[in-house]
Amino acid sequence: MENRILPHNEDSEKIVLCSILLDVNAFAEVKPIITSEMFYNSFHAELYENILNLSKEGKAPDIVLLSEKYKGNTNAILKIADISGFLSIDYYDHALNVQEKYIRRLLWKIGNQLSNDVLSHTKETDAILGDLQRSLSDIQQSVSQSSIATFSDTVKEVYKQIENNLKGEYLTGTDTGFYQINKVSGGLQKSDLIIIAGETSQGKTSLALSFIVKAAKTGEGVAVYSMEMKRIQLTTRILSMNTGIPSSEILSSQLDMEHIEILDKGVGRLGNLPIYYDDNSTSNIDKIIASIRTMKQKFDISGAVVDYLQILNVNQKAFNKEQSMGDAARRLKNLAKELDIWIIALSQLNRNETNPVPNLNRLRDSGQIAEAADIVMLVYRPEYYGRSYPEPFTKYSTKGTAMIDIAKGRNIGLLKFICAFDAKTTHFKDFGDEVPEVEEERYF
Amino acid sequence: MKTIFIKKSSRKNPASELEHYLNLAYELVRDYKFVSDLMKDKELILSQPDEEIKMIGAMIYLLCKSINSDYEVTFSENGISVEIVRQ
Repeated sequence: MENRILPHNEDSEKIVLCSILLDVNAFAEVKPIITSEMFYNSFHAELYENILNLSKEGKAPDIVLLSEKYKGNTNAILKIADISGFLSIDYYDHALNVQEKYIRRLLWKIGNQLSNDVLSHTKETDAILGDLQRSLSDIQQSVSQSSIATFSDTVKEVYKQIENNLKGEYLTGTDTGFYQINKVSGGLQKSDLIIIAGETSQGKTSLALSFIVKAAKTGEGVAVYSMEMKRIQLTTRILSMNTGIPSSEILSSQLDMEHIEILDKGVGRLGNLPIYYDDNSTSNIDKIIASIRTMKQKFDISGAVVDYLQILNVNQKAFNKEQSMGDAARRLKNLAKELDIWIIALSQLNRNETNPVPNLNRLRDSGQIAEAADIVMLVYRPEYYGRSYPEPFTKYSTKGTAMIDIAKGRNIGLLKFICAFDAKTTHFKDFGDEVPEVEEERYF
Repeated sequence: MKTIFIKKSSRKNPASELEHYLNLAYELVRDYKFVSDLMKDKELILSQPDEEIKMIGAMIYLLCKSINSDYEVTFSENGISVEIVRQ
């Protein structure tokens, strides 16, 4: 057989090892996905094995401690020295690359074995098939170990959460900026699909932007996909919400010096927020899903926002609108679960002239959207219709306020509350402790 | 854009280890220039007939490469000292 060079990447291997030795965070992140046999270079595999041994002994994988294991072996020490020039912030991506190359080598090996078995006629066909399935399943298991957790591990996590709750540390997910929502849900939870629904001009996008900015201010990355607004409009809205200058003024009028100063300060405060846009992937669900995957890999985002479902091109001609919307929502839910992020999808409600108060049944095009979602938030601004609030909020003023109704809350229950809404800057704000809140005691 | 910071390892101080090996090398060869060359010349290290010097040289070379901060090596009559000047 010809001499083949099997898939491998020595530089990626060096980057992984160097980062483990020089960056205190790297080993904890890389360890769940890398084993020593994944290294193609036998010296690299040996180094990683020694790093694992140091760790088992309770020692940090330190370049000095590691080199002590090679005392008397000058060549080995010099090889480690060469590796130590490969520090990179992208070590996790390189670890995935090392893993991927290893899988390819395994597949090559399985292919060779399969080819031999098939041609030699020494094995029954059923046995060949059985061996093949087992080998493929072994590969899958070896690379997905990090996602497997035992029941007892998970129970410990639950108890930790209970302990935090007792201490008043109820925030387990991403801070929404709304006390009431945080209190019932612990914040936006990873793997959740959250639907924000409302009729036109009720502030769906603005509510989502409030969540995004709050998340980004706490350092959590968010990817935003808007089919209605370009990134410059979205950014202007965010600036508007945070400076009090209406976005229409920012974009289309000549601002005076005072406003420019306020805006500059706002930009200074918000300029580095980890909010990511991808204008090229905004109307097609497949493209959005691919882009979210990339954003997760590249920027380690905590969440993504899709504005809005009914405008999406779903690529499935055979489906009717209801099924295709349900399908899009389910795909987003699966993606949230797979990538361990939260996803907010905005959705239109059917108009109801006689009673505009939103409810789940009016989720346009699909009850399946509500089915796929973990949380459905309905936004209602009676001021827009010149109406008053429904019970039990009839006593509250509608001027500059809005009602948020968590009409579906998997694991969190239901809740309605009133918050502030500034129509000029399209800014939703928490009333804090003074909020006129009524919590419903309804649970699924 | 999100800024990602790399935390430098502070697990075992490579600067003090380097200082230790530089002084060991100096005690053996009594030649500052030679010791200084060990910090950057891999071929020189590999060409050493004395295994002990070779090993010490390799450690010096490794430690120099693994310190990612700026550092100063001072040769004086009190010995050799290594000081990190900027993290």
